Amino acid sequence: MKYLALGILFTFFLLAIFADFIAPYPYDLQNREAPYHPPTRVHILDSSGRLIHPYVHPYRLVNPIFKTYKEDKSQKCKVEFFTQTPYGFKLFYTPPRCGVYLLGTDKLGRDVFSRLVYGARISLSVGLIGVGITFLLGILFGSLAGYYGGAIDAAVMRLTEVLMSIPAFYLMLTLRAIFPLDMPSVAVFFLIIFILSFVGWAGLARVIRGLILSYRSYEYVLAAKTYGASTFRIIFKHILPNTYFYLIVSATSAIPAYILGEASLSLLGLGIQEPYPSWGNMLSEARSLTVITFFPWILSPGVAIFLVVVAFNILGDTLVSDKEKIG
Amino acid sequence: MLLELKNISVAYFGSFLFKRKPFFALKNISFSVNYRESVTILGESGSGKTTLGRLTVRLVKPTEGKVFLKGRNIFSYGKEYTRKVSMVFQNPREALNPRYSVWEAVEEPLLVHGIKNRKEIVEKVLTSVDIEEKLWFRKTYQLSGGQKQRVAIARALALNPLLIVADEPTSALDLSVAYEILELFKKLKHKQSLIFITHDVRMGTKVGEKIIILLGGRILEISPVKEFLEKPLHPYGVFLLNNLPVESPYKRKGNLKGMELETLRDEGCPFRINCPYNHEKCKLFPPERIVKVENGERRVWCWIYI
Ligand SMILES: Nc1ncnc2c1ncn2[C@@H]1O[C@H](COP(=O)(O)OP(=O)(O)OP(=O)(O)O)[C@@H](O)[C@H]1O
Ligand SMILES: [Mg+2]
Repeated sequence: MKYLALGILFTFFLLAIFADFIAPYPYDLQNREAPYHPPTRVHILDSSGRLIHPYVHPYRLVNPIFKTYKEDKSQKCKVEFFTQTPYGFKLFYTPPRCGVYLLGTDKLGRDVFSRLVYGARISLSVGLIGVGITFLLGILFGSLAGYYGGAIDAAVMRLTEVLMSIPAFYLMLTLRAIFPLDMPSVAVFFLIIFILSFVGWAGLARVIRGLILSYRSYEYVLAAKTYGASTFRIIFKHILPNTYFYLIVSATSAIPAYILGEASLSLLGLGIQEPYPSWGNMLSEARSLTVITFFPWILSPGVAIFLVVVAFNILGDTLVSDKEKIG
Repeated sequence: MLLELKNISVAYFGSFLFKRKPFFALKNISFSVNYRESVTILGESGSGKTTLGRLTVRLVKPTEGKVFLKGRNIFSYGKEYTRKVSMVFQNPREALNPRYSVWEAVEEPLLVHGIKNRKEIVEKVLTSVDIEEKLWFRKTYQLSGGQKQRVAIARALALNPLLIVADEPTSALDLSVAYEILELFKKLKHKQSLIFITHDVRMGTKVGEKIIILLGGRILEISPVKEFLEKPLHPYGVFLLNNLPVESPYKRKGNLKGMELETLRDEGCPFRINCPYNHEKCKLFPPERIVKVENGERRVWCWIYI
């Protein structure tokens, strides 16, 4: 299970990192002739069942109203690997007369697979950067509160209680509402990270504070004070190392929340704006039942979210149970 | 005079938001420690020993009174105070960071104070507490209790302090190991001043030259150990010597009526319910009485002597 989860995550991170190489088309390339094109069938066997170099047939739009396509068996294009294309050096590509749409296309004829790969960049980095910032805030405030106690502790704890008493989703919407709707995409991207971190740090800060509180009175921590170690040294060398394990586990379980958070904001049109792809705004196209029924491949970013979220959760769980086994 | 406590009281107030009635762990305590003198502080559980020890290393602030080192208030010193007084803690299992190696644990105080010839010093102190070379680079969690305590003592020695405060350094150890550690303290004690805190009369009287009897946050008697063993002045001292642990609990002479429960902490003498001389007057704590002896003086707080 653990290796499966790791494998899934590894694959998605590879996709995200090498998106320019793996995605055969740019994320905003529209093919007006091929809206809602179904996933292209890649043929790897010949008629007698032997393995051959993969090839595809072009598809012809037979019904422009219901967007039904038919494979045109009269022509075929070889899938070329590691090849130079008009869009740069790519892992695989076919000549333009046949399209290779592994996961079909959307309403505007954009390759869903390419958009999924580019979207992974945004969705995964929102998760990672968001968790990073949350942890920075959580550790900072948690350590201050736990180590100094007294008034600082009381103030930080009340603040976290206020934050935690507001349902996270409404808090996200409220925060988003403070900022204008039409912002440059980069700004929106960081805004979303900011919103998610702002909503997320409170719980973590409380846990860190609790851990620090319990380690603060350990005799080796007291001893370090008596020989003049600085507060910084005490926190980072004597107290926080005891929380690393907890931090790793909670990071793995927090990342899904960020991915889902970005997805929910984008789904409502409040997140990453078209034409930039994120898994959330790609899914927003799949909101109508007819689309889902007739063009189910539009749901593939949902599958990606599901896989990544489940993989992170499994990873977190196995880390905990491994730790329990070791003791 | 190296360390001097003047009219110290320490109260615990509960937390910032949930204040409660102050609880006096120490009440109006005064005593002093000379250069290279060893002082035993004897008291049973809850008498305030740890609070007193932590006070001398500034982990606890006095509610009333002042503590002086070389005539200067200890809270007026900066970081340099931490070079002058060091502490050995009660529980060796907790006293060392399990992520550190023996070497790192002993080196850290030197590192913190930016001392140059660390290698030499660490080697010297580890050797002086009989930690063999093969243990030097082990992680501290791999050591036995006695070894951990030796390393903790080495760490306390590393900065070559004027005073070492040891808070029940043997109470968490097996008896045989405890006596080894005790021997170590006897060996080390004349290099600097030592405050040896213990609940064990026999151990306490083996280390210190002067003994301070603590009960319920009050000092009842301060005497040279020799005189104390010959004839304790305070009835509580008599009680302690009469109740030294013996081979069988049936051979005990005194009883421990009420002693396991919380000791009295009021305006009176904390020993009075168990005291054979309990008197109306004992509801108020007596003033100090000084008795001159050959090599110094004895101080006692008991109405018998007034
Ligand atoms: N942080 C604290 N808050 C409130 N009360 C405390 C605190 N620390 C100690 N006390 C109380 O002060 C009294 C003295 O405690 P202290 O730890 O100094 O005793 P001790 O003599 O070292 O006992 P022991 O032999 O069990 O270690 C005890 O009654 C204890 O309950
Ligand atoms: Mg104690």
